[in-house]
Amino acid sequence: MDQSYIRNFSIIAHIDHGKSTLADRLMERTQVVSAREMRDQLLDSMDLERERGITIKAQAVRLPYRARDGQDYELNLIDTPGHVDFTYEVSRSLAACEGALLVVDAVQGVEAQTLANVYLAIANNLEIIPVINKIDLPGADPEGVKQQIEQIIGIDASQSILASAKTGEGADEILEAVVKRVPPPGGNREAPLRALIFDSKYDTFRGVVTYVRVVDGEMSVRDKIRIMASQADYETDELGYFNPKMFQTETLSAGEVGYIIASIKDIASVRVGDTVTLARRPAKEPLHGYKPIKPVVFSGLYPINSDDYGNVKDAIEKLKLNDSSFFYEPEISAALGFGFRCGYLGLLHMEIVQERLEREFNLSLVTTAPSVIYKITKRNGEAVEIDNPTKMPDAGHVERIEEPYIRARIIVPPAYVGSVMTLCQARRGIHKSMHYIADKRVLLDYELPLGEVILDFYDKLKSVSQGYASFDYDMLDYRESDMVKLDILINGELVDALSVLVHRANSYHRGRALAEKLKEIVPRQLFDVAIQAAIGGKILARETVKALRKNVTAKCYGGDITRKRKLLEKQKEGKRRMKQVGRVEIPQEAFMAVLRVES
Amino acid sequence: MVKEWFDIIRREMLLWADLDDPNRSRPITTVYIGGGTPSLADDETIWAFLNFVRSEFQVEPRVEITIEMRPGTASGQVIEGYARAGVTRFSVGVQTFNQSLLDSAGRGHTVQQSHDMLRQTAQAGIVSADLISGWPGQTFEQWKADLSEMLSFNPPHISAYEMTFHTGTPFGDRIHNGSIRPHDEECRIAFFEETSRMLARAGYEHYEISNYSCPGLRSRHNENYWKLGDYIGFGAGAHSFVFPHRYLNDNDIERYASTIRAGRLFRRLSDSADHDLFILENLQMALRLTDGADLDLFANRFGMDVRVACADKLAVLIEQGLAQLSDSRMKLTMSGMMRMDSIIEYLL
Repeated sequence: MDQSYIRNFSIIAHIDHGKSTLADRLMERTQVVSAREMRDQLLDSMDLERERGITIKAQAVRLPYRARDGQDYELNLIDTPGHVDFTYEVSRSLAACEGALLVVDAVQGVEAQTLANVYLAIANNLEIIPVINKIDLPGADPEGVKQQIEQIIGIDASQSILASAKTGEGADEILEAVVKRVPPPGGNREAPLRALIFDSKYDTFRGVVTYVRVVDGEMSVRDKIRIMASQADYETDELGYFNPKMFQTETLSAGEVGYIIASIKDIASVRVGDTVTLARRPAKEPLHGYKPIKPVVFSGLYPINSDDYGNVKDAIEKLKLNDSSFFYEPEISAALGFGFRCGYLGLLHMEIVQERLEREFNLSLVTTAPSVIYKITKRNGEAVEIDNPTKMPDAGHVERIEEPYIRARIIVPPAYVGSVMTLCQARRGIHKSMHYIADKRVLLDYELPLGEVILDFYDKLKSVSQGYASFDYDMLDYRESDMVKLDILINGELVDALSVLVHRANSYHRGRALAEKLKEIVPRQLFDVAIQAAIGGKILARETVKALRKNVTAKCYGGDITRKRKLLEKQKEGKRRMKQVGRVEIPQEAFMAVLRVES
Repeated sequence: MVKEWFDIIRREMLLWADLDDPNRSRPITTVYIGGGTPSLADDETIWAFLNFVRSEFQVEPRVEITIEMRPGTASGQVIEGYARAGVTRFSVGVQTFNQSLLDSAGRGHTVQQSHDMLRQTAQAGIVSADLISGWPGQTFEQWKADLSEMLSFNPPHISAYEMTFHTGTPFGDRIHNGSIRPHDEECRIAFFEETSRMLARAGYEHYEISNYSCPGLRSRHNENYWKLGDYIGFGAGAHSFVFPHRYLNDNDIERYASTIRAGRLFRRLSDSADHDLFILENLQMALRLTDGADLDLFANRFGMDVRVACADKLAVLIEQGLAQLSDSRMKLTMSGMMRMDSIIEYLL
């Protein structure tokens, strides 16, 4: 199709502001799917996404649209993962578009996440069309929300479209606005091929399916393509687009969005942000903005039952096929045995990976508390980076420890500002600024150690603000910090998997709180269990889980034994969820206990 | 009603015997009539039933025949009739001698009825009396008073159970909603230890977690369960164990009865799917006896030598004073007995 009739756009929205529902309405209006076929929120295809109401993997769907001017247009809707962990992916998805719908909930107003993504869109020079959604709800305040958009984001909101994705109101206006306001893609069809990779997924039968936006030139089936950063060549087997099922075409050319299948077996060679060109006529320069993604949060993953190691390995390898940002390497723990050190883009990414492993591969796993990468300079001048507290060199050899800081933006109603500031203070936050937005909300700017944020910060933030606070962050820099390793001993034995790095100022309090929390989590068993928190061999706190001293079935005759069996089966199942350390059974959640310690 | 019931049981016994001839020739060493309230049956019914058993099956001359007795349900005459019919033991469900505790649970008998039945059954055979400790609100002194009162009747056998609270029972539901509280662990230990102490002083042997007997008068029927002997249960919901299988009858009385009337057994295998679990449930039974379990015999029967399979854990149990091992016999100590369920869970 002539480039002037193509429009590429995405939707930016905070979780729950109605992005997926709106996408469904647009597909319905353009009759890509009939109402009958429509499963709710078709774009979010993974179960997990549906449950959590977020999008993990971006997708792209082509909407054929006859506008009011009588002309047929090809609208490409590129969905973006709506979470801070996936900021880089969001930025690449947005780079594939010329415009974006900024969807804001008419009741809740602008949230921190919206802010981060809209800044990305502005940085990518996108035309932004504000859509005020859920205007059918009681309490909807479209005028107030317009004011917020103008004050915080600084764009003109007078042309905002009022919509209700639920009832379908405003859907036609949105499609018209996309045609009229979003510019057609530029790009030169005659130039050497340059296509931006904005996502990929692994298909068991076909290999990697690469999602691209063609910026310049054209490619056809059977062309030999080259992935520029990884310098790998492949022959295309199939080209196509999503409507929303896969639909084959012969070519993809400048301005268009679609997919490539080229018998690529390794998803790691198809990185988001990389450029696809043709082997016979390569482009001189790749597209701007590519950077390899590095994980920032790490944790240990261990099978509860060590016999499951092979299964866990298989599952992790399979998962990795579909998630190039996930990192892993084998690791051994004295307490937990053989397992893996895994790296994630953030906490949500970590939860998603773990949940998928348990759910899709039916594995019982122990996860250790998350850690960030610490940069350590030893007294002998040697520099090391550690992603696991157990790798911390002996304190006597350490000259300096640096930890990563983030810049956090928190938007919260004025009533909760005090409690949010108290929380940030407790997490060693440095207050940078505070702005009132349209009287109803406050934007707080903080610098925080990432290590404090990955310890349950988000849940705490939600709870001190009764769910009203929204939060977003960027990586800032590394700063020197006085960190110490807090160890946990169970019946006198150090359990390496329970060690955490904490700031010295908080260490005493954390140690006590962690020991108390573990006392709650470890069930009473046949023997007393002593739990101690220690720093450098000095015991800070001691708790005891008293043994069960009277626990016997009073009556056990012929029939009772069969009834007892059910209990035995339950106990056996329960033990499957426990890790045996010495003679003590430790439940899975104990290894994450540090996340649940009050600060 | 009761007569009709015994008819169905008889038919089931014949059906079972027809299944497998070798069983018919195995002598019956004990009979236990229990579950529900068999003491509502008149002595003629019991007489007819036991006659049937003696005529259809091989019965050992010194057979032990026990019947469960609820206080207030049978007269002295009926009790004598039971004895004439062949009943040798009377298991009397006293529960407590404290009338207000009985009332609090809505148990349908009085202390006076317990007194009467203990005296009447003592005339007719061996008495095994049940007491329950741990009633909500029961004091330590009240429990000691129950034990003393029981001793004044000199029953040759006493079962002393700790009360359990299942949901669906009045106490269980009240505990669940927080209106009453069960005794704490210290208190339950004190009850248990005092029971063992007082009854030992009175000459009773503590031979199973909840059972005490005068020398030579253990319940042979119950001992057979703990020694993992075979047994066959008849009636709706009855369990059987014919090594190596366990069976379970249908729980629904109507369905059970109509199937038997139609000439078919209604039992299914209830073997544990998990062999380790099967072994442990048997070990759990065997360890209930203060004599403990013979691990050589156990290994022969179940194909697992606990001393090998659980060597490390067994060593810990012994070191912690919870178990003892002498020759091939494994026994739990008093503190081991009290936390037996945790021990089995530990061994899982």
